[in-house]
Amino acid sequence: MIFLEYLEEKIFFIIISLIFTLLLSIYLLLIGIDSSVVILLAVLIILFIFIFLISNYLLIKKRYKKIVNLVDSLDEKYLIKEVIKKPKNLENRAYYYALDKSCKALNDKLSEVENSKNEYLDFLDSFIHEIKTPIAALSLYADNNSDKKIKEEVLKISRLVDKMLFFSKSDVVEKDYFIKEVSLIDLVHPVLLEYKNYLLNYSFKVEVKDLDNLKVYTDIKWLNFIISQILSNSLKYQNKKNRLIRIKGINNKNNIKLEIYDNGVGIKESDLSKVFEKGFTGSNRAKKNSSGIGLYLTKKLCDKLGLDIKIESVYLKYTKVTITFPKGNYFLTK
Amino acid sequence: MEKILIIEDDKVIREELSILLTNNNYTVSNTTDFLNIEKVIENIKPDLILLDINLPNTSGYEVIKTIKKVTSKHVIFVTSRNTIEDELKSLKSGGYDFITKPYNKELLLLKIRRCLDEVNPKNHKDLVVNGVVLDLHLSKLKYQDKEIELTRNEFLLMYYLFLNYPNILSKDMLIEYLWNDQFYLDENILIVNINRLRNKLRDIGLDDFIKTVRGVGYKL
Repeated sequence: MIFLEYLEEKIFFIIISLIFTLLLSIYLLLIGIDSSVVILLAVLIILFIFIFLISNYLLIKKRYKKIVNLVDSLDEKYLIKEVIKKPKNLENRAYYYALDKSCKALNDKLSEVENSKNEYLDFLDSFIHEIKTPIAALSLYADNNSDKKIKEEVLKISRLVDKMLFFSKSDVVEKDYFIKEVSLIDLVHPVLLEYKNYLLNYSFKVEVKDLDNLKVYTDIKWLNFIISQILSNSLKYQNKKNRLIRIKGINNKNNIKLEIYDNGVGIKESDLSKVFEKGFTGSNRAKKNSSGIGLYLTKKLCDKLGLDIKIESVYLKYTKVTITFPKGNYFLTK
Repeated sequence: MEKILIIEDDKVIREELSILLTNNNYTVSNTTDFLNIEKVIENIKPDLILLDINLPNTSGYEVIKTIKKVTSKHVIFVTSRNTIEDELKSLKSGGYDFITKPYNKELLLLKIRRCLDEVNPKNHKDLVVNGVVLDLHLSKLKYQDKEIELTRNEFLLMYYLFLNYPNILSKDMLIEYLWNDQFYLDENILIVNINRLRNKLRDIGLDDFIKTVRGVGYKL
């Protein structure tokens, strides 16, 4: 708040005071009081008003700053009403009343939205678990009748359902999270098994290197999902005859890296920075089977699990995704 | 043959699981009488029980309490819930293992096999076919007074051929087994590995120990 603004606000008071001083001076002069005394008196009055204005300004500025700082330092700003003092000033009390009411209304609305969101998530959760029973039945049926086509389609449905489940849970990773020591092969192996038929049908060469002896502390289930998302991209975007997937563990001093390399289409340089964005499906890729959710979700989950994820690629040559696990015995969800 | 009891409320899953397990040489029984499980178990005397967690009017966690009273055989939980809470709860309540729907066929069979093998130590002995001994602990192959050391992948190949003796092992099955053991190979690599193994066998005087069955697979 600038002092001038304050003066502008008080302009009415200032003008009235000046007129009053002027009228008082004229009156005193008329009743024959010495002009030097009148001038002294006028100057004193004006000085007094000025001092009053400045001190009042400083006080108001202090209160102003206090509230602004309070709001800025608050994470959940809609709770501001709880932390500011109830004002004594009549006008400010009206503002306080307005703040009180709007915060309450907002909080009511917020819990309403939260409730309906939770209700929806609960429904989604039970729905997903319910739908898994017929999927499991179909999958067993396909196995028993050696029907590879149905099996493949069932696996696709199952993966899509999983994606939905993991997406709905991605905001509350900490609720379903269990860290233990696992070797990199435990993270990769179930995913490779899941894609086994696809990898064999399309004659991928699968190279797995240095995964057995590298141990990291993380949650298997989330990592299986993350790796499955990465691998599904590697399988989808292929342009060569000799297809290769190479999964490698690297032991560094401060961290352990898991590299997933494919010699597929790769990503254009201009797209590379956008692959983790929600809804980004690429400028060169056919849009089918692409929701723009997979890598976005992958990145989000990696962030929550405290892992670093990077993509390197040369268009038409290769894509390499690297997940970095910090070394040490503990880390927390964010 | 080992007996497996399936406790599951979904009819199709029950049927298909039975077919799958029967095809893999297990005797299978079903029950839908979830509330009188003691009698069922006393009648059937299963070696292993597959138990669903979500059951009508009760739950797998309740049922396992009853099961534990009448038998010490292992229980594997099957469920569509895969949260950590469920996993902990099922292991805490005395389940031997935990597998989620939709089942990965190989994983399911593997877990069942592992669970049964633990109870039955006779499966840990060395395997012998036509005087050739496969040492399961030292990964060695012995024939008369000679022996060769096998690499991990060679050992796995031999192991599955031995296990399936005298039957034919199809290439697909062999590939499937080996993938389960983290040896991610395709048919070409399989052929290369078989040939390399044959050369090695020749060094200890075993010619034509691994026989090719045209168009199908291999046998000992």
